[in-house]
Amino acid sequence: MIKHVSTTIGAAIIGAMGFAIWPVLWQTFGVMGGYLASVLVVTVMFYMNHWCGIMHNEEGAAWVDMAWGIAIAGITWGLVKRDMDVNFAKCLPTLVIAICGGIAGGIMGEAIKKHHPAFQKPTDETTKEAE
Amino acid sequence: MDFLGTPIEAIGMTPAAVITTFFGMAIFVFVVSICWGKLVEDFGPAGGMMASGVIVGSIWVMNHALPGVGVGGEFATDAAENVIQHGLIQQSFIFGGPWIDMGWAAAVGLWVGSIYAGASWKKSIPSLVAAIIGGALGGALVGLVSYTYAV
Repeated sequence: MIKHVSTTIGAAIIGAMGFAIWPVLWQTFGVMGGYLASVLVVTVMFYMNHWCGIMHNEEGAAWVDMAWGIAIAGITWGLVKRDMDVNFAKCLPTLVIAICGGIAGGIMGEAIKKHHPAFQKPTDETTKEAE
Repeated sequence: MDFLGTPIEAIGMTPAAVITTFFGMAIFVFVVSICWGKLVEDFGPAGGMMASGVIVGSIWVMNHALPGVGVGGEFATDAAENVIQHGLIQQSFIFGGPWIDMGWAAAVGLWVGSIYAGASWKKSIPSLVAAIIGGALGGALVGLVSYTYAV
């Protein structure tokens, strides 16, 4: 049970940090601010969420990344903010393309890790052949 | 080639924007999927942290870039008075809807990729639901800041 609470907390913190830090830095320092924000936010959030294990991922379960926190926070931030007159339906085209592009890239990455020779672990036979 | 630059009214993007958004998302999740795991294996958490800053930072600059030029964050507008988006990822109806981040690509892509590689999606449902709830709360919290002062 506490695993699920900590996953919620981890995702909430990266969602909040992302949208509290990134826009401010980007407006102050331009493009370099965006770069700086990623170094400030993503490094320590990776350490907390994935290395320390705050966002729980079961053995053998599909990988739930901390990026889910940022992704969903982007939507709720836009909907809750006062000064923007936003309609959720207007983000759907980009969202659909984002999901399609994400699936394409993700499957391509896994397919390469499975089949590309550079990623195959050397087995005992190949090391014996080399000797 | 001009048809690539004419906005499609129904989706608030030009055909060129559809192409660039798709590839911007795919490139980000591809780099994360290949590099991150191995970096953490090779360099431990410190390497993983610095590398993650560099990967996300550089790809952020390619994908999202500042919707204006120079320091200060003013929005440049084009001939038709629309805001120019300088990144690969184009928000549809910009400022009409909530922000779609490149994090969507990483989140969905890594999840689907691990299912493709044989992991169980059923076992991930509790974590996924918890992460979605957490993200929603975090984003709403930051949105509430705009209510801390009177308009």
